[in-house]
Amino acid sequence: MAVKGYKAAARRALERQPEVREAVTRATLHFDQNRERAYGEVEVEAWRDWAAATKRHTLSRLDGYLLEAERQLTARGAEVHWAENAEDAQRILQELVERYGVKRVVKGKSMLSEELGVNGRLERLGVEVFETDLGEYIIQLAGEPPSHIVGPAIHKGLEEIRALFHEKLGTPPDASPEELAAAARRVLREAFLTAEMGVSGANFVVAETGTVVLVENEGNIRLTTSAPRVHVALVGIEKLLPRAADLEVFLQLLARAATGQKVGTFVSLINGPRRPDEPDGPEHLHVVFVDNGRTSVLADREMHEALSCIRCGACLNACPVYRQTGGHAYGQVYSGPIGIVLTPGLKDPALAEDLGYACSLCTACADVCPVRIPLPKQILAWRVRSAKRAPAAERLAFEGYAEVMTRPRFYRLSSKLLRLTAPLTGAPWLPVLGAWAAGHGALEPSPKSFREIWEEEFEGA
Amino acid sequence: MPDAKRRILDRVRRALAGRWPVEAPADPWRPAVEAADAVERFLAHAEAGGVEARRFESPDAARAWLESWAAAFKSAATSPRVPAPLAPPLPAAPPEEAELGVSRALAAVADTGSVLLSSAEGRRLQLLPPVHLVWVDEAEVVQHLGEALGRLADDPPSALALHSGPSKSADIGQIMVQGVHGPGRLVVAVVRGLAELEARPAEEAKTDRGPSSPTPDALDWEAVRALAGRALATKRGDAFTVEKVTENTAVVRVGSSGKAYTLRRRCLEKAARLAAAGTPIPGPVAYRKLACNEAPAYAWAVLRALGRV
Repeated sequence: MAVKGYKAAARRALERQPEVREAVTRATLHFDQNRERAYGEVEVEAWRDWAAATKRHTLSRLDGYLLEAERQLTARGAEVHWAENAEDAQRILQELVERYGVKRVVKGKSMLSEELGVNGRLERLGVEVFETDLGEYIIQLAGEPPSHIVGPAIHKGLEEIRALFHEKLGTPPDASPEELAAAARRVLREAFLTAEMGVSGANFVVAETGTVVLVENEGNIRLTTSAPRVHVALVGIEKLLPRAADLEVFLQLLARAATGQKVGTFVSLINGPRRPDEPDGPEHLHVVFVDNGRTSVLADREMHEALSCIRCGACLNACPVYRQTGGHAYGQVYSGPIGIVLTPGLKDPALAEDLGYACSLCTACADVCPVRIPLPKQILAWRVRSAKRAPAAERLAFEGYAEVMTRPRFYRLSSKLLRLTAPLTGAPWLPVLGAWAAGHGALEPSPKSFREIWEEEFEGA
Repeated sequence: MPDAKRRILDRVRRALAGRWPVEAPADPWRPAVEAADAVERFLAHAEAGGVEARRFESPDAARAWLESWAAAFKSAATSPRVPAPLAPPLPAAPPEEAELGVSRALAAVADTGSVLLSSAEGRRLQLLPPVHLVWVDEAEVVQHLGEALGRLADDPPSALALHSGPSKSADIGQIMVQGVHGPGRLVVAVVRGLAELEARPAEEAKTDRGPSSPTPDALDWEAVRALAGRALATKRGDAFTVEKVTENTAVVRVGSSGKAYTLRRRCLEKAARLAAAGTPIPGPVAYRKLACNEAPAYAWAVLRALGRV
């Protein structure tokens, strides 16, 4: 079944919420310029080659690295769980909530937790859930999903956030960004100090040492993983790195690709629960390795490299389509080029019939990806697969088009024909051409084709 | 859920079946640097990240600065790893109430302008107070992140953290705000000769502010030299050999992994001095806490071989 969500949502966003386009374009251009400057300060091509090769290596021996990480984590006192899908992961969390008598959960920003629908399940259990990343907190107040991997609230401008905080937290209607942040800090500081459980994702897990690595700028993830009695890390199985030494490049490349920083302001390197001689820290560490469709992507010979993704958001920032509509139009957890490639693989190939066309094939994403995922090639591959499932009339039309374009005589004939029928090409009622005509004006062919001009002016002379 | 684990691993193996394993690449590119400029590079990069970075030629100079600087605060939460002379002369408060948190870093990284902090000193004092002061020894400033991360593999604390600036966010309309959750100011002071000062034992931390002066009882370095070539074992029983001993370091090599670790003379001397003064150092954990977090398992075993612990 074809899914027609993106086009309609994009049209709605562009027509009814011009401020979203403005906010998203400004933010992504800013991110992208910072990335470009930061890439220029290092031998970035060498790092990208190295990081891509390291990720491909890790994925090619993923089973071994997962087992090694589990061994190391267990040896240091952490408990490791395995979840095949969202339901498994939610059930594991529910068991932990019940085991430790949890009433309040503080969360560090995690795209995987969005994917798994963790908040809804916790709330149904009567648990109070606090997103603690400032951007995530804003959209939690607004009841929206994140629209960008790194900046979940970039679609919201200052005015909108002012109005939201005024309504929900009682800040003055003209509060400064500092006052708004201070209001959020007061609520969340109290939450950090009273929550029994912190839930985070993970940017990397080092197999050699069993270290869970988290990168951020606010300090909320460090608090999430330090203050409550229990820390649960949700980890996609593709997050593994072989050695601690590999972090040298990955931490710097991630920060440069995401925001243009040398390294994230706070990097947590978590090896286990609090040791007896330490003054504080969580008494229990649980690590949940989550599949949720990742093994299907791994098995896909054209798509498996997408599992190298380190969620920097650089492809979103570079994408001319994403810049216009923002992430919500995609209707999925992951948006932008990486979302187009990953979502059908993780969830349902039919989604590619819609998402595959939220792309102009300009290849800007491939130019910036720090781990060299061949995103344009993969998007094209999804389109090829969708085309094979397209209605017979559409398939026939394109097959005919290919025949004509590859035979000079047919081509010449057809361009003459086109000049005669040009006034019709803007007509939305024409079969197959309808979708094209909806976004384009009528063709205005020149009286003579280039070939004809060439033959008359030059070949004959 | 043992079944879930088996099924996930089965699917991974089926997905990979018939594919060539991809080899791991050789060592990555690193910026070319002069060995001597680590501290200058660190200070420049830290400042670019919003750190208030300072440098002192001696602990005395650092102490003199601290006395006037700390006067702006009412209370402090101070790490037990901070040597007494560099603890601020302020009433102690728990981290959730203190105006200032004071840490002693394990290392600083010039590439990224970061300090490496250990959970052994407590995590809350690194995060909850609005201002965070971090002391680091000049000799502990390394050029590359990998040199500092090497500490991960060797008996690490439950958590390490890299801090590279004040807490910040641009989530409100792309406008940068500081101090969102963590400290709004990060002050890093690089001090020459800091490691020579004794770490205060944890129980003294709350009351004693005077410099501690354990009985000097120097480690006989010739005895360490005599260990060269000897096979030893850690407390856990891992075999290693003392490969060579130079004027300021001893290098050990681990039998099982072939990895080499460098033990600094002044770390070993510090532990020996403390032990002679009556501080018990029953194993690597205590060595790490009281002396240096530098291959503590092997350093402690060397001291035990010499009968010093």
